[in-house]
Parts: sequence; C-alpha cells; structure tokens
Amino acid sequence: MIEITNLTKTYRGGVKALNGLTLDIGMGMFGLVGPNGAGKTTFMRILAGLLRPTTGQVIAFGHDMNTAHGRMAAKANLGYLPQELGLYPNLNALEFLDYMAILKGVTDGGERKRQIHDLLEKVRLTDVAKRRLKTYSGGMKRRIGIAQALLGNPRLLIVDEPTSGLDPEERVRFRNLLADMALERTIILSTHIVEDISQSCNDLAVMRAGQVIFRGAPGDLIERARGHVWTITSSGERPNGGLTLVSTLQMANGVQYRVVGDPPPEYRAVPNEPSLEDGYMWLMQDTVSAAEREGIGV
Amino acid sequence: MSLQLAQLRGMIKYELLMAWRRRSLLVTILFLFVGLAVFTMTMQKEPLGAEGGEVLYVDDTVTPATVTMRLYATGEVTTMPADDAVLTNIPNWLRNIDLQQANATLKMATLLTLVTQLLIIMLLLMSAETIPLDKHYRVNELLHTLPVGRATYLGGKLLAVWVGLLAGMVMCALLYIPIAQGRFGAFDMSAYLRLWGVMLLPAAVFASGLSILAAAGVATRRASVLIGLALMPAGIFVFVFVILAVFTPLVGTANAAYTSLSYDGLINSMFGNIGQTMLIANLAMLLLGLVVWGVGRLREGQ
Ligand SMILES: Nc1ncnc2c1ncn2[C@@H]1O[C@H](COP(=O)(O)OP(=O)(O)OP(=O)(O)O)[C@@H](O)[C@H]1O
Ligand SMILES: [Mg+2]
Repeated sequence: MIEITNLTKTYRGGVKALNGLTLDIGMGMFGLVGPNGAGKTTFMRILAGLLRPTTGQVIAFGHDMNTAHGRMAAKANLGYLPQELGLYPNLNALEFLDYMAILKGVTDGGERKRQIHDLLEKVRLTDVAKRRLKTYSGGMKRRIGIAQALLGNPRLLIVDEPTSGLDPEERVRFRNLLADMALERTIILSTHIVEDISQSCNDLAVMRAGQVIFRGAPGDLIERARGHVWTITSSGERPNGGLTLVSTLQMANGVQYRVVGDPPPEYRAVPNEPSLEDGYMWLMQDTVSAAEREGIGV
Repeated sequence: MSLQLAQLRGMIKYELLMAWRRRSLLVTILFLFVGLAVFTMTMQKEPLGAEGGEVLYVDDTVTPATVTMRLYATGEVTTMPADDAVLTNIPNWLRNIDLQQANATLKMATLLTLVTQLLIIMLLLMSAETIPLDKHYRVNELLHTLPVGRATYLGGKLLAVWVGLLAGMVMCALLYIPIAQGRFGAFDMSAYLRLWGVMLLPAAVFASGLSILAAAGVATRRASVLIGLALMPAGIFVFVFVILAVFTPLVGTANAAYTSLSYDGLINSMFGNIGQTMLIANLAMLLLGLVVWGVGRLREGQ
C-alpha cells in the first residue's frame, strides 16, 4: 500500500513537474499514462527514493519516504527500472545481476544463484548470460534491466516505460511476466503505449502537467469516450473542427478516419466502439477544452 | 551490519573486476613498474670515493681509525690507516657498517622517493573517475535505488581501489628487487620493504583516496580529470614533506640532532618522519571523506 499525499516537485530552475498529486496505490498492476513532460518519471523517481519532493508525503508500506531511515527501509523492498537505463559494460549478465543482488541484500550465495537463474530464464537471456553487457542490443539491455528490478523479490516494482525498445513479441512476453508478478506485489508501470495498460492493469491514472486528471479502471476511461468515437469516410479534405484524429486508413471509396470528439452532422459520422486509446484521447481533449472554457492554461 | 559488510565485499569484488577489465588497474601498475625501471636506468651507482679507490668500510673503533678500500687500479682490497680526507667524507653514522650496502640502500631511498611523486601524480589523475564513472555509464540512477548507504557506497569504492592498488604495488615491490639488486648491488632489504610500507603504499592510498573523494560530486569523466589536475598542488605539497623527511636526516647530519645517531638510528628517524607525513596526509584525506559523506547526505535527492 502506497499513500501519496499532495506531492509537489519544483526543479531547480523553476519547472513545476508535480503539482499537488494525491494517490493511493494498492496491490496489483497500476498503470500511469500521460503526455511527455507530464511528470511520470519525476513521480516514479520520488517513489524510488531518488528524488525528494518539494512538499508532500509518500508512505510506502508504512515507511515515510521523507526520512532517511524510511527511504532505506522502502528501498529494501523496491525494484526499479529507470526510463534511461545504464549497465556496466564490462560485466556479463551473471556478474551484473549477482552484483545488484548483493547490493539489494540477497546475501545468501545459493539463493542469489537460484534467483538469477530463474530470472534469466524468464527474460530469455540464459544463452547470452556470459556475454559482456556492452555487446547486448537495446532490447536485451532492457530485459536485463527488468531482471535486475525483480531481484530480491521486491514488494514494490516501479518500471518506467519498460516496453519501449522491445519488439512486439517481447512486449507481450513482458506484459505477461509483469501480470504474473502482480499477484503478490504492487507494480507501477508508466508507458506511452496505452495498449500495454489495457492488457494488464486493473487500475490506472492519467497524469497531465503534474496532476492526476483521471483515476480508475481502464473500463471507466473507455466508457467516458462512449458516444464520442466516430468513423468518418471522406474523399475530400481531412475532417477538422475540434476533432482528434486517431487513425487514417486509405480505402477504395476514399479515406476512412477514426476520430474522437463531436463531429458536426455534415460529416455523416458513424458511431464506433471506444477503445482505451480513444478514452485517453477523449480525456485529453476534454480536459483541454474544459481548461480553455475556464480560461486557464493546462 | 552484516548486510553492509556483504555489500562492501560485493563492491570490492566487482569494482575490482571492472577496474581490471577496463585495464585501468593494469595501466596504473605497469606505469609504476616502468617508472621504477626508468629511474633505475638513469640513476648511477656512484661509489663512495676516496683517492684511488672505493671505500668499503671505515672502522673508528680502533686507533688510529682504518679504512678498507677496493683500489680502482688493481681491484685489490686493502685496509690501511684512514687519513683526514677519508674521515671528513665518511661521517660518523657511516662508520663501522658495510658501506656498499648502505650506499645502495640510500640510492634506493632516493629512487623510491622520486617514484613516489610519480605515483602521486598518476593516481591523482587516474583515480578521479572512479565515482563519476557510475554516472558516465548511467548506472548511478539504479544504484541509488538500492538499499546501499552513502558510507557503504563511498567505502566500497575506496576499498576496491585500494585493495587492487595495494596488491599490484606489492607485486611491483617484489618483482623490482632483482632488478634493483642487479643495478645497485645488495641493499638493506628490510629498509627497502619498510620504504614501501611507510612511503609508497600510504602515498598511493592518500593520492587515490583524495582524488576519488574530491571528484565524487562531478558528473563527467572529463570534469573528474580536471579535478585530478587541480589536486596537483596538494600532491606536490605532500611530496615536499616527504622529500624533507627523507633528506633532512642525510643533509642534517651536520646538525646536532643527527650527529650522534648511528646508521640505524638515522634510517629509523627518516622512516619516522615519512610515516608521520603520510599519517597526517591520510588523516586529512579521510577528513575530506567525512565532508563528502556529509555533503552527500545533505544534497541527497535534490
Ligand atoms: N532534472 C530536471 N531538472 C529540471 N527539470 C526537469 C528535470 N527532470 C524533468 N524535468 C521537467 O519536469 C517535467 C516533467 O518531466 P518528467 O520526466 O517527469 O515527465 P514524463 O512524464 O516522465 O515525460 P516522458 O513521457 O517524456 O518520459 C518536464 O517539464 C521536464 O522538463
Ligand atoms: Mg518519463
């Protein structure tokens, strides 16, 4: 259980990355989406104890992250995969994982061996485990990063855009791996790939400009867009006027557009079943126009 | 506590492995060895001369004092009464001992002192990257989410460097013995080993530690090298004290404090001075460590 209250973070130089964020996160998989610069990484780095909030509080499993002691205790139960992952180029996978496991406090050698063996199987790197990490491809590095985060069986797993750079097959495998892991722990996953969330999370938050603008189940977000998702077939110009274009498909009888918004009748739009991505798009559009109505910039 | 110890052991093991694979440890040790070899080549073995031969022994326990010489002309060793010229050349503390060995030993002391300066300069430059390297590889983001305390992290980094360095240097010291003996002849082995123990090893600990700690806060490898350069005056400052410690007793034999000393007493006093200098230097370095640790705690997570 992680309780986040009124978190703000202002970076040196004045960028306000978090602006009064309050969330309760329970067991299972928690998805975090939002546009670039929304503050997802900032939020996750605070949760990981890397960054101190300007104000506000994080209590992770009863440990107050504002105290050195609390951070240390929380870190002992944490697995973290940073958005920009670096590895020691001159170690091989076995050595790197062994090193990280020792630092994480898995002090029993046999236990360490067992965990590393299992994790390498899970991320399918057993065959290349003895190769130096500098010879790994981007996706392989990411998978080592994932394995590293799972060392020591942490109660809280924070993964910042873990699927970027993975091929589709690996992405699906990784999603399933996380879903398996989510049974007995909290996983906080940020991503730009909304599909990742719809497939694996039962709880999600959408962030924008340092605030949570939606919190709930993926189904709720989808429902919000119901009645606002349309297909427009046109042989002329693109539809416009407050519409968000989700996809464009060239057909024999013209171009088929999938749009989110409320198109005027002359487009002869056909209503469509919303997806999570539509829900996200509608939310973005809706909050922007709401903000505009009230005359505040978001 | 046992967790911290396990973490320290792990850091030493893997940091050493990485230093080895980066070749930085090897380069450091090779550089030291080459330094020793080059100084050995350039240093002459000058015999303690008197007119016509090399002085091997001066015995002033008998009256009149005698001098044993190997004559340059014939190579013949003879003992004869010492004249005034010989007695002024060979001060009290050099009498009644094997002068060839003492001569070789003092040559070694001079050589190792010069190599110490080389070592300090090299380590100031080469060790600075130790901590910035984690940022360079971008693993520090990961490292700081692990339950590793600031002190453990700093301690692990320092110890890993020191363990590797000291092991390599001990090897150097041993491998160099036959080379030095070939060049300078037999020397006082215990004085030689003590010089490593009291001068070169502590100087290495000091210079590498100072450089690692001073560069702990910088973000790039290049900046760390600049820090290493900026530390040169500190390195030279310490070295001046080492020089004074080594040569004051030799030059100072004219001083009252040293005139009464025997050879052993003189060597001991020399080593005592060096040891003191190194102790102070290393304490200052550790004090810097404390400051770095404290600043790190204050700045943590900003
Ligand atoms: N170290 C920093 N110093 C100053 N500003 C920063 C720093 N890190 C992030 N920011 C700013 O804080 C805001 C939030 O950044 P953050 O990285 O948390 O966003 P994000 O949601 O993770 O974005 P992305 O989806 O692109 O990863 C941005 O405006 C960013 O420019
Ligand atoms: Mg991010």
